[in-house]
Amino acid sequence: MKTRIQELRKQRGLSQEGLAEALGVTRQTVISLEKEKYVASLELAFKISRLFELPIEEIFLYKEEK
Amino acid sequence: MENNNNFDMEGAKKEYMLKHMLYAVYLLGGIIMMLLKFTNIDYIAKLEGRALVQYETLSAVFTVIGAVGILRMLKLLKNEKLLKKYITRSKDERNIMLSNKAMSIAVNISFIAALILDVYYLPINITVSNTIIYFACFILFVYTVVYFILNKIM
Repeated sequence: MKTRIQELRKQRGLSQEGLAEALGVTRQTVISLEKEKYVASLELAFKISRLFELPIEEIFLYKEEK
Repeated sequence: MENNNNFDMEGAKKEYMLKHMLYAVYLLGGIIMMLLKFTNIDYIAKLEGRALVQYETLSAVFTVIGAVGILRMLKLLKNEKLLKKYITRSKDERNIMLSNKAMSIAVNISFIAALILDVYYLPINITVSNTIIYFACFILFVYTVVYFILNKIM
């Protein structure tokens, strides 16, 4: 699943550590999310959505399998 | 931008202490084992040679694990910044997922290793071979029971 987390984080001038603290997760989780190696849980996705003040669909880009 | 920084430090301290009470159990267990050595109960009287060494080693190990665990716990409780980092790490969903996956892989590897060892020991020592296979079956049984219970309650 593609995400815009890195792009949005940089736009808001946040460090990975800062974003991690704001979300209540570790920096490693933020790194994994940005590298698209980890798919956030629904709860975390909602937290990210509220933090960036954007709908989930504009942050996480779901690609349907054909 | 909303900042989710509602960290309940007092609640976190209580939760952390409760979770790490296990170290007190280790310490108590180790001390009781050491004290029992000075009694003349049947179990202790029967221990000799390697069995006695193993008993003493276990009691020392439990005592050390318990003491180190409690000291670490007290150190973390005094340092709120470190405690917050620790709790964030332990509650981090990715870390929990990794921990569960690692446990699952460890159980699978242990089971396969047990089967290989069982086959290896079969012609050498049937008692050892039987012990290994019974232990492997016990692990599987516990896993099945826990899975069944969790399936019902979740």
